[in-house]
Amino acid sequence: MRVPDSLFQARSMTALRKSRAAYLDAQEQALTGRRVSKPSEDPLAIGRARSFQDRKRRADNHERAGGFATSRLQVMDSAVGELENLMARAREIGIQALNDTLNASDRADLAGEVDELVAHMRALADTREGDKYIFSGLSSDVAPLDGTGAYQGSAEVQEIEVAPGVRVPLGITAADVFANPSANAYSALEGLATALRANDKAAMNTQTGEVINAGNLVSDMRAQIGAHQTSVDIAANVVSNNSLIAIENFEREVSADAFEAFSALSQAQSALTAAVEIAAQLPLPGLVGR
Amino acid sequence: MSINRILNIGHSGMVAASLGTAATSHNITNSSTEGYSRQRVAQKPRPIHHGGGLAISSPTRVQDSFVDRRLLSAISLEGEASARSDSLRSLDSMFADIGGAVGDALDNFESAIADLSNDPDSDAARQLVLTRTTQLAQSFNQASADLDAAQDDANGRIRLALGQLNEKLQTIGDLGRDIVSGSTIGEDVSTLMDQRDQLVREVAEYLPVTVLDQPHGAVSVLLAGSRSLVPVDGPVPQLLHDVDANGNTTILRQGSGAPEDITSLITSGKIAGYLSARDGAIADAQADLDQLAYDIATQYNAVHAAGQGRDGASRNLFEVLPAVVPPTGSAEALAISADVVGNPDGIAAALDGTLPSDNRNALALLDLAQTDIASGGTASASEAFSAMLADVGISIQSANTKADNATVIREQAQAMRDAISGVSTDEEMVALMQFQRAYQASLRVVETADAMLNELLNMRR
Repeated sequence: MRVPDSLFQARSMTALRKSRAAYLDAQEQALTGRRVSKPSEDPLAIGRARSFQDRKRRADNHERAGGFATSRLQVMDSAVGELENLMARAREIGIQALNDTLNASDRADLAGEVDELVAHMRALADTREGDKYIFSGLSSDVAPLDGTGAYQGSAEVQEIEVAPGVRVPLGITAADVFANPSANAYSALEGLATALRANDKAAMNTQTGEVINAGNLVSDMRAQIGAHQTSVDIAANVVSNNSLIAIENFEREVSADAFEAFSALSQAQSALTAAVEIAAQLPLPGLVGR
Repeated sequence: MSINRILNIGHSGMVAASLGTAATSHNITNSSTEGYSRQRVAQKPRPIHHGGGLAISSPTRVQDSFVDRRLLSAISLEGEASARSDSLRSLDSMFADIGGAVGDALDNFESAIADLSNDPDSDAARQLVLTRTTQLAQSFNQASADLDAAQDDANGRIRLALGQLNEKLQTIGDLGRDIVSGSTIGEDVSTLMDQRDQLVREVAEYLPVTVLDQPHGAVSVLLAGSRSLVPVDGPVPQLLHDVDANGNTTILRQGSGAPEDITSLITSGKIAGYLSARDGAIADAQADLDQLAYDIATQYNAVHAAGQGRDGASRNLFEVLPAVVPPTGSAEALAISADVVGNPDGIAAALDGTLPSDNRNALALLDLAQTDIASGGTASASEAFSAMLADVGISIQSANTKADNATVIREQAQAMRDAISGVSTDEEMVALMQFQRAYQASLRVVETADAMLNELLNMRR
């Protein structure tokens, strides 16, 4: 084969071009730690990476939702816990009032204490997070109980998505815990106070029973709030795992292995150096050498 | 045989050696001239009874027409592949960092809806939805504008190339006439032919050309084997540009008759690469983006309008896009609805706007992120965007691979051409020494004949 001078130049130029391009790629990977960032570098990996990034973002959204739900449920649990204590005290008052040693004046004093409990109950029902009544369901701008103790919020409770496809009610309403038709805590306390003032033992007995029933319901409702919190916690674990898996998969798709990246850089550097040296050692034409 | 004949034989050798040395020197001097073909002086012995010595021809180019044609084809293919690859490079940057601005905006939009569903009565969450919706629309607008710019760039490159091509084709025609007239009167036209062939190769970089050899060293140049670009005689047709219904540049050939649209005939060369990128990957990405924008606007509007703002009114989230198939221009036109701009209360998080914590419609909007609302109901918006990214990446990667392969093929074809027509200075050095020795030997012949003549003259004294 004839080997014209131009072939030496062309081969050297090609080798230099390829070596420089390879060095640039290797340098970028070593500098950024990314194996791919542009679609053309690995189209399928970019598509998958985008999908994992999407899952990670959704996991972040669900983590924020879980945090929001936990905050609300904790406030609610605290209020209902206080209500539980309040109902226990009311039960004690009811039982104490049935004691024959007490006279009408003593029972009137107890009625005063029950009135305070009712006022405290109203304050608990009016618990707010920010400017929102948390026991009013979706009608968070209105106090849950009216002047007579009747529920005036909405029947529906806000739900929140804490994991893909998992929605948890954001607590309960005052209709469930303060003014439940089956065991109305508010009515029971008001009834007890009335019976105490009237010094009516039969009514006291009946109302104490109502207080006990309502107290039990409050405990049940508190357990329900706890169950919601458990759902949130379970979802949080799932979401946290999903997030870690998404991060791991994303990194696997786009990140460069540090050892491989620096090895590739070293190889590319050697190849480029060799190409430059070979280009510099192109044979002198015989004419020039003579 | 007369002594004069011996002198003539020696003289012919000296002339041949001089011409050979001149050709060799010419080769050495042009060894790095692009497109230069080495030249050789053909020698053949003249019969003794016809005077003897050497018969020499003018220097001729050393070339192989088959190899030259193959190089032309390889240049056209490389031109096409490299132009397509260059034109698509902007798409790579547009969607870099795992999706670019559109990907980020889509993520942020869906996250804002998620935050709204957590706290539907929050002014901040509502304002964030407005901001993210605006940003989503703007990112689609910008991506669409960038794709338009990539198409405009391809159109501009085509128009620029046509201007340069007309000049080159005209020069090829002029050189052709000079070659014919020169060769007819026996002039050395090798250099003109080299210049013409180099110009043909430069044209082949942009267009698929075929070269047909004609008498007296002339050639005719055809486009795609059928349309004359440079005739042997007559005026050189002009390449013109026009604009089609989509605003894209088309290419016309203006011969003696009416202009003919030759766009579809251009299947290789850089112009084919620009056309391929413009009408292929860039147009596909634009169509995908338009479809995604249309699907997002339509589907989110349907759900948003089913809910209520704080004032109990129902509104669209995006401006309604024209229901045309395909939804061309949707990405450019995507915009937040004027009904909700600057009106956070207009965001329909609720089914019943009078209930401040009603997030039921926000949850329905959140569901859309996971619902197959795009690609004809087969993918979510995010999945459709991921698929689009992969498609764009595959197109660019394929173009880059083809460009690399085409360069290798062109380099091989160039090496084959250079192996025949290129200058080897080592060879020329040997030839130079040969011609030098031949000249010395021929001079000795003349000296010998001269000595013989002197001897003869001395005999008479």
